[in-house]
Amino acid sequence: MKYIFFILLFTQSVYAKFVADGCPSNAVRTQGPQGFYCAPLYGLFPQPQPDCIVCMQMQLQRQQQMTAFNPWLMQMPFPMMPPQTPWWAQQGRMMYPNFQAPGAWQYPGMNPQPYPGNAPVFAAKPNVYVKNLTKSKTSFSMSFDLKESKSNFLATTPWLENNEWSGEIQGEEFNVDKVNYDYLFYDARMPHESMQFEAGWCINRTELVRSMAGELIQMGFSQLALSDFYEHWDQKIPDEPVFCVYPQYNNQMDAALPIKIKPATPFVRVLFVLVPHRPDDKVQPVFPPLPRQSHFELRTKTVESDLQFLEWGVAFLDHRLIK
Amino acid sequence: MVWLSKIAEEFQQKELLMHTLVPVNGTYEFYVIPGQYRIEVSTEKGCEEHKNVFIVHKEARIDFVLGAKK
Repeated sequence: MKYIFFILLFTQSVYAKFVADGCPSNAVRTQGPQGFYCAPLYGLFPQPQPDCIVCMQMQLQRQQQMTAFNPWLMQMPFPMMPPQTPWWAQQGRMMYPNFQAPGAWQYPGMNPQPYPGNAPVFAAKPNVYVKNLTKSKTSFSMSFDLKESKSNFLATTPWLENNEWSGEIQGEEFNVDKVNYDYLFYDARMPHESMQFEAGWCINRTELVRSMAGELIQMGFSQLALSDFYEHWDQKIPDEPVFCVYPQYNNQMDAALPIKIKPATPFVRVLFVLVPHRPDDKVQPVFPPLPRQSHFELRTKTVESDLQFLEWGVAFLDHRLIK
Repeated sequence: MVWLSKIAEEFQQKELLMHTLVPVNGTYEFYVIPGQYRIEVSTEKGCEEHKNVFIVHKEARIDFVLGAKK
């Protein structure tokens, strides 16, 4: 018996190292009840075999499992529970046929034609929140350095004065021009050269938003930030079967769109770049490649601080960049 | 909520470009290429207002105030 135990232990430790080092070329990183693991490609992109009835039945089972609601995520604490449909989503669906897309959409990415600028990463709604443990009032400024950057804005709330927001932090709100904002917001086009497309995970649409929210919990975002994230992105990600997620953290974001905060304050940033996949897409895309590496080491290291700024966002690529 | 879309007669041709929640008395800034756009402001209680904006020049700044009313 002791010999069997030794073999099992050896196999598990080899598998754990394998996952930490990355998945092989015939597998992709995904997330399940026990955490991240390497899944065979066919598990995410099933290929039908019409000459085999048993194979087709197994195929159908896998597809149903992919799209079925996964109860393990329901065990996560609030705010992981799906929110009710917000009022603006009910209005939006009646007003715009493309409401459930992040903007002008052309599978598998954004249609860049209606938007100014050239950069291919469409960062939708980076929201900046403030965590203020002492709840004290303090002045702040947040400025964007666009001189050397290839990024350009598409929208901001509130509007910028000389590429800067300034005002006061009151509790955990920003006060700019005498108006309180739960968060500061911008949409922008960003270059992709400083971003990473090796680490991340792929997951079905049903579990996608929760899996990203799980990452935000790990990074210390507040319940308000999590609720906002869930409420918005549950509505605004197109209804495609599978998405691959390439998280960008401070190292990548600071290179694409540098931000300076005064007084100097810890600033945690994450942008989830999403690429959809359909069963009849290429199993091994050229760009971006399927994510096979762990993203854990890329995460910005959190620091203990009474005052902290945190930014989350979701991005989609110019459809012409995806091959 | 502030909605920015291209102007279109038929529903199927309407294309939502951007939208975001803005607090009362808050400000919103957007950047577009020359073209014809519709900006709508709506609230949870059904108040709304809209404005059609025609952008001709590549670089121009237009400021206006929208107040949603029933």
